[in-house]
Amino acid sequence: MSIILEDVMFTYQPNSPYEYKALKRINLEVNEGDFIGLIGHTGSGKSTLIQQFNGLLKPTSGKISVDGIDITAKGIKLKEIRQKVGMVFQYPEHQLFEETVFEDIAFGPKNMGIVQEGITKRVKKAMAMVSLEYERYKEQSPFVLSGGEKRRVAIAGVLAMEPKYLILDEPTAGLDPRGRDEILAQIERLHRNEGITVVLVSHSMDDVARLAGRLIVINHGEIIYNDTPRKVFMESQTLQNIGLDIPTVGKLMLSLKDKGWPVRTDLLTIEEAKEEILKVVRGPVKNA
Amino acid sequence: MIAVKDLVHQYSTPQRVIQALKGIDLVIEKGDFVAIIGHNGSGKSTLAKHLNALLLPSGGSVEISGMDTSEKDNLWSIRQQVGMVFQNPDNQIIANTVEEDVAFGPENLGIEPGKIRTLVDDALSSVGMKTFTKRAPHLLSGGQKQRVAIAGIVAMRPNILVLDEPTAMLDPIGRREVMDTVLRLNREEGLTVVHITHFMEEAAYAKRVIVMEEGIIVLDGTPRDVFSQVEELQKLRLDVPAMTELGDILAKEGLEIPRGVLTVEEMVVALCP
Repeated sequence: MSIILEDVMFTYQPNSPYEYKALKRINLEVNEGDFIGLIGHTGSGKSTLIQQFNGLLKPTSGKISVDGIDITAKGIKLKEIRQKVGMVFQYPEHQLFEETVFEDIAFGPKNMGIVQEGITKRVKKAMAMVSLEYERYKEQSPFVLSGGEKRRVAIAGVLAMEPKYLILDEPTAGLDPRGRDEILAQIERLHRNEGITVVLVSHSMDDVARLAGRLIVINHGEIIYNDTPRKVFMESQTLQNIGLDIPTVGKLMLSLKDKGWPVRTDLLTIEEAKEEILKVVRGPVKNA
Repeated sequence: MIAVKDLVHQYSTPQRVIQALKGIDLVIEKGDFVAIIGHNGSGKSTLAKHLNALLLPSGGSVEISGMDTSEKDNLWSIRQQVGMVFQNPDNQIIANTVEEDVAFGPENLGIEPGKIRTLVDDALSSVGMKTFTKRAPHLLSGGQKQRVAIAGIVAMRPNILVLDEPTAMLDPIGRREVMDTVLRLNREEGLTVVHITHFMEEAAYAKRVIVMEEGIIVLDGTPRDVFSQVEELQKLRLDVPAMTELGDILAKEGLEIPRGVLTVEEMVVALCP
């Protein structure tokens, strides 16, 4: 099962002097079980693209299907699609509005027509998934919580609808280091333990290098790379030309190679860099 | 010069009294570039707001160039001397064109119109936004908006620039634009900078780094001194720059890496002497 985009184009304010082609012929598959990192500078079309995934924006032309259902067809019931494709926007805590954490998280399942017992179960489960202790938080007002906690409540509100696909638009923006670590660790767990398919929009090359199995790079409304982070980050020059970057470790390896070190340059994490540097410094390991 | 003596800040909720700052002692010299890091709730922003009398001490004192912030008569001169830039550029822009926006501060200081023109032009040049004078601020990128906000402060000719997470909402290009601008203002125009940030790579550019936790200063020194305390920082669950972390790991493996390597360039030098 998958989300498939075929020749998707999207134009803001078409046939007006302000016409702007935000997406130009996008072809893309998000497969069940994927962890995709989506990167591109501000204005590249990332946000426009993810809003196609659950029908928040309808493509100007092209076709989008979610698990075989054509969501661009006339008369399609988008409610079901939006339950399946959960969307966490930037600064999702701005969308909290209920008086208690419980009520806020329960809002989605209630709208799906689920009865009370089922709702409590879903709220409990969603809160556990983002490590919010049920008894401690359920009666609290979401507005007195810390930034990181608020954001976890907002994410739990989406998880309570039990989506198969989770799309997150810069979920760590504006958080402190502890909050960033917590949110990313939770997303990783949701993918690994719950089998949720994840599309993560991020400005941090280090984060997507570490987490994503596949990286999609978008520039001026077009996909320019769609491959493993290791392969994509080999294109350091192009990435820098379009206002992106490579992970810090990659930069170090490129500099060492320039100095004549026989090192791989497609490394992504500090752990990998350590191994590679030690290999060079200590020489090849001899078998006893 | 900024002189903070035994500064306490407390406020009350219906349930209890909370001490956001618990006796801060701090002197910041003219021309310094100080980065303040620490978690949300550590007291960073509260401290920043004391520097231009947006908040007043519950105990202790804050002096800006010898002026006590709790003296009412000093308020306007302190606010003119200490300019503040906040996280969200959209909350700080008020006018329909870039130049009007930058002129707002000097106009409020009662400066004569002829001089305002020069102040605005100089301020926009100093942040690299001179060619955007007549543009509508809401159509600019995040980094450009933040630079306009900084220009609005610079036009009031302050001595001290306090930035509270100015890059938190920006993309990598925007972050670099703002950092380059702030560094230039410090180095070339001699502005004293206090920069609050969650990005350790930005703090590494400062001359001095202060780490706050639960209302007190826990570490204070050059970026090299502070970031070389990798374990201490990790205990506080703060990040260290990627190269500092790698240097620490390699040193534990027996490699000769100096403590507190901050950048890729320094790491290359350490590995290829």
